Amino acid sequence: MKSAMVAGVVFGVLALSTSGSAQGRTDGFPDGGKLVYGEYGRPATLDPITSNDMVGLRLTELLFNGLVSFSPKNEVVSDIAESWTVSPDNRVYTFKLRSDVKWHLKANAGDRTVGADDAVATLDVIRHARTLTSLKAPYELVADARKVDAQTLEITLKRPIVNALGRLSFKLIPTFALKNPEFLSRDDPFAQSPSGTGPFQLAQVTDEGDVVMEANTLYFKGRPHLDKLVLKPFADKNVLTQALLFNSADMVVEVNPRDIAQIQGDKRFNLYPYNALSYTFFGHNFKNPHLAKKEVRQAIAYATNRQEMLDSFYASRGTLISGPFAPGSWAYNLDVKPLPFNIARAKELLAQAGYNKTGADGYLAAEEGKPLQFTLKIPIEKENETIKRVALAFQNYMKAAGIKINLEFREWQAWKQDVFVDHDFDIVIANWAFDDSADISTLFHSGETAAWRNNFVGYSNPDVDGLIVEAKTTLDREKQRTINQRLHQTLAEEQPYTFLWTLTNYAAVHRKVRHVELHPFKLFTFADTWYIPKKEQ
Amino acid sequence: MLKRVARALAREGMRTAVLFLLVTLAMFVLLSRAPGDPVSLYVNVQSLSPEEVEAVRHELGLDRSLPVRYGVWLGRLAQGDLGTSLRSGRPVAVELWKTGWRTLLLTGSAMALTLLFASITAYLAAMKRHPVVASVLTAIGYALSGLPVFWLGYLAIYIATTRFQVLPLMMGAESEGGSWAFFLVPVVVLGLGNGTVSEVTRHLRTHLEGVLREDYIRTARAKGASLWRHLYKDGFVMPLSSLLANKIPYVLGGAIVVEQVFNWPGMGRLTWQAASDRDYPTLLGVTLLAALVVRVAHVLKEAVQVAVNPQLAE
Repeated sequence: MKSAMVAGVVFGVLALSTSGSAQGRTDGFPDGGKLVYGEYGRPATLDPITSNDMVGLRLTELLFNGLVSFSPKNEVVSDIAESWTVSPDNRVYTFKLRSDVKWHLKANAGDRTVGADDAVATLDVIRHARTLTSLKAPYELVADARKVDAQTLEITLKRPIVNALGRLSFKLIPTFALKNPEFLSRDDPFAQSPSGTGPFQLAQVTDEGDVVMEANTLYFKGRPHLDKLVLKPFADKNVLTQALLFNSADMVVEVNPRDIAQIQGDKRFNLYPYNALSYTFFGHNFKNPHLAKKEVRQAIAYATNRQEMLDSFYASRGTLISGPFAPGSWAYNLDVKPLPFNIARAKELLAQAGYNKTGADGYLAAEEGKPLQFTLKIPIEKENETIKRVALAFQNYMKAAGIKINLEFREWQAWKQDVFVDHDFDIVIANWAFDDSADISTLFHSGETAAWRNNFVGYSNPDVDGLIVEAKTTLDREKQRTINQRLHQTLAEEQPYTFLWTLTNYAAVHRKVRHVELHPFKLFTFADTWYIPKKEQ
Repeated sequence: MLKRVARALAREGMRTAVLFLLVTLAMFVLLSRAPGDPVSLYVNVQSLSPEEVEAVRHELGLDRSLPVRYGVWLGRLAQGDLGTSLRSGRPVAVELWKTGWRTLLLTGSAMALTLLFASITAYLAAMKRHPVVASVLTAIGYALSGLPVFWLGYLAIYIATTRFQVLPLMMGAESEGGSWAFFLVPVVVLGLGNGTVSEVTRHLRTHLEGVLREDYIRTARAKGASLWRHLYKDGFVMPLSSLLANKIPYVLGGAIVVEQVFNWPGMGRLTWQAASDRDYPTLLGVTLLAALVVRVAHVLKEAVQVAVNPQLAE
């Protein structure tokens, strides 16, 4: 659905083996060639700090590096920092930075290499009051960052946290290239024309909005193979596939599910699946007295034929889920199975909950002459027309169970206002995207129900609250896993959400591009190793 | 006559100023009443505390009251400053300039096509010389006008790609071998679709038929004078100038949709994006420019009509 709905904050950085010299790569693959990739929408800003959308997140993978990065298996690996040590109390992280990292030429850094003071300055910019960025909240955990010597950096955390290293993957920017080196605002030219350390450097943004990047020959892991990389924004997702098929783009980062079969049948392209840590659900408002009954929520789950929807609307490209984590996550409890489609069981549960009379209109009677009915609020998103089909199918499934569903489509921002601020809905369809921390504390803790907090359904359960706090305070990953699996089990039983599915996304890339490897949501983390054979350039 | 034209222009200028105030005020109030908040352009509101969100609002000046914000905006406008886009951080004037000329190209060409098609159809129909051609053209006009413009856009892309193997999308500077299709197809879609062509045709035809019944036309015919010389002022210039002025808002509205479908990086796309982002400085800039275009067209129409028929100035 929408990238803006992010539970936990997504971090990340450029990864890869640290081999290779600044001159060229030793893997023997040829340099040269151009890759044009199509995105839905243009990024508002191009720097890693003010940028606040997925298009920007993916783009900054190409232009910047962090202290650490992630391997394809999502393990923390070295990037600008070549090594690090952690104090016994898990609060002080000391990073040793590589001494061969150069800023892009357009930063006008001269001979200057990236050092500890750049990392400190970047953190200062992120935390400055006049810098408006979502990164501020996660970096509140940093108590102090200081330069020990030119290439040694010491970061002290306010308290020890799990996976702190993964969270310290912010991207370094040349703060001396800012209009004001203390903070970064959107009207700073740097936001539209940034320079960094990444494998590609910004060459130009055309009037059409194409972001043209060229190989950074000074890249510390060796020059990337591709000469040129171009981000081409499209305003309409429906024409992205056409652009690909008619050579207006060599790559589409997320193929419209409807078009997958067509691209699959075209020999010019390869499809690369990737699993974002996200899932789709129906959320039930506990302020509604009917939905507050567990049997009603369970009945809704039993009456919803999720497999059929997944098969027919998404061509089975996804997995049904049973609980509040993405199946790719370490926290997911595989022992809990998704509830089966069972209309008889649904009716039984509804009868148990006291809905056993059917009115003249064929729906179960809720109170005086009124049917048992709920309003499903659906965000209108041009990029996701399938959601309409899901809503209509849901309406039919519920009708069979005797529940009337009224569909209400709302413009995206209006929908967010209804759901997050006014809590004015019975059922919503929505999507969560996670980072690797699998932190669901804000989703189901009873203290998170105020305006703009993530527990918009108003779920409250002291046992769950207790488990959530326990999971947050422990540093032991195994213990966390056990707690999360218990949470999973409880929430699967309680059904505050009807958990639907996690979808497999596909990127389509022209066959000429080889060695394509994708990070689950940052995608371009390994793009410096992609290459195009000489003959096909 | 010049004096009259000048007086008419001055009057229209005054009206324009009042109109600008009302239009921008209405836009301001509407935007502030609409759900949603430009803050989410900058941060994920859910992951911040209310105080942090308030700090962002303060930094953006969104915490001030509506009259104050409108006053500040007007004050800047008086100095020729349209403000800064909340999305891109660039001056709104720059954003409008960069996208405006593309929209002008698109809408101007589309309107020219509408007029060409409508004039030919209406002329043929009114003169009753080629009834079959006239009927066919009229039917085509109605059919195209009846289709929603976005759907017509997809259809045009489908036909162009499958039949002619070209992709009618605006190409970037980075694309090689772009064809004229990327320009022509959206112009045809906006010019012949968008519901305007049938209306313009019908209006023009009715008008022409009326004029053709006038005594002076019969006299002209009788004495064998050129019919066109007597016809063009009342038959074409008068109705076309008013039609053109009236249709500009519709064409601008249609351009929003057509630019989306054809990836045309013009003002329509800018507007769409700004509306989804609640980027109010940009939206106000677009509104103001659109109002200006509509008014200028109206004033020009008045001027043309007064020039043709000085009695109208009274």
